[in-house]
Amino acid sequence: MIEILIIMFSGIILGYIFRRRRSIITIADKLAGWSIYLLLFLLGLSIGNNEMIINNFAQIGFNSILLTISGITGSVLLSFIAYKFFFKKDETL
Amino acid sequence: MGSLIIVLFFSVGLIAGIYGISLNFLQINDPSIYALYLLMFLVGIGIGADSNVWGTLKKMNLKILVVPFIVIAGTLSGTYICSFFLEDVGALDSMAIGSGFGYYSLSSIIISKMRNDTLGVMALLANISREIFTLLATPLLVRYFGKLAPIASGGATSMDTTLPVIAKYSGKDYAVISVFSGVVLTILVPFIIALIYRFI
Repeated sequence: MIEILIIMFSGIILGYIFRRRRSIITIADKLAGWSIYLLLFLLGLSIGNNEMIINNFAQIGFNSILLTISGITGSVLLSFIAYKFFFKKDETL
Repeated sequence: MGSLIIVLFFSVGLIAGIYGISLNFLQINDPSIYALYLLMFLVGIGIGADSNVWGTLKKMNLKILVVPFIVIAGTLSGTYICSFFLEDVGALDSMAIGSGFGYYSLSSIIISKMRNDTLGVMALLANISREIFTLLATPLLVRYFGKLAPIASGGATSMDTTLPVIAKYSGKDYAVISVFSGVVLTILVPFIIALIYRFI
């Protein structure tokens, strides 16, 4: 997976270099949108082919919701503590 | 709007797959890995070219810096505890799914590549729900848990899709924190997931 990070990092550097060339950036943005669509389509396709996932969809959905709730609860509670002790005192940041 | 289109593409693929259409005839091991490389490159360009990103990074102070790390610590501990109650999802997988921080397109694809499609779907659903929940619950979150709460709940989405509603209920001052936290988390998503799976 290290190659993914290297690829992304080289993109960041190129994006910074070309940040004033709006036409290039717009094209990159559009392409990014379409590659997300393509990837999600492909993910859907391989899941549709996978009977194990289709047959267990209710269980998978239930697990997902629990993970969402627990992730949000953890971060909201910590943010509440930070807000009370560090941020609320001086609302001017 | 954007997420509706994404869900649409996913569903079309899903239905096509259920009806037996597959890409096996292409004889490529996994065509989507190349699409993922392209996407990561383009996402990088988008981040590098975004004046918002560099602007907020310059404005950062120690207090603002704390916010994304609160989100990371809270999400990882929450999903870690959650994994004890899930029969078929291990602690590392739970934490990796949580580490999408709402960035569902990227996290679902990376996790389905690094692990399997089942976990990829879970990452997709769990992280889409994170965005939807934040959009719906922000007024209540602000009232009961303070102005940082929707930023924490929004995770990576607090820089774009959930920013308008956060700016409305937490105020303009917090919009800056919101963008900053979202930017940092968005950049860190692939790193944190890769780091978590280092332990396997």
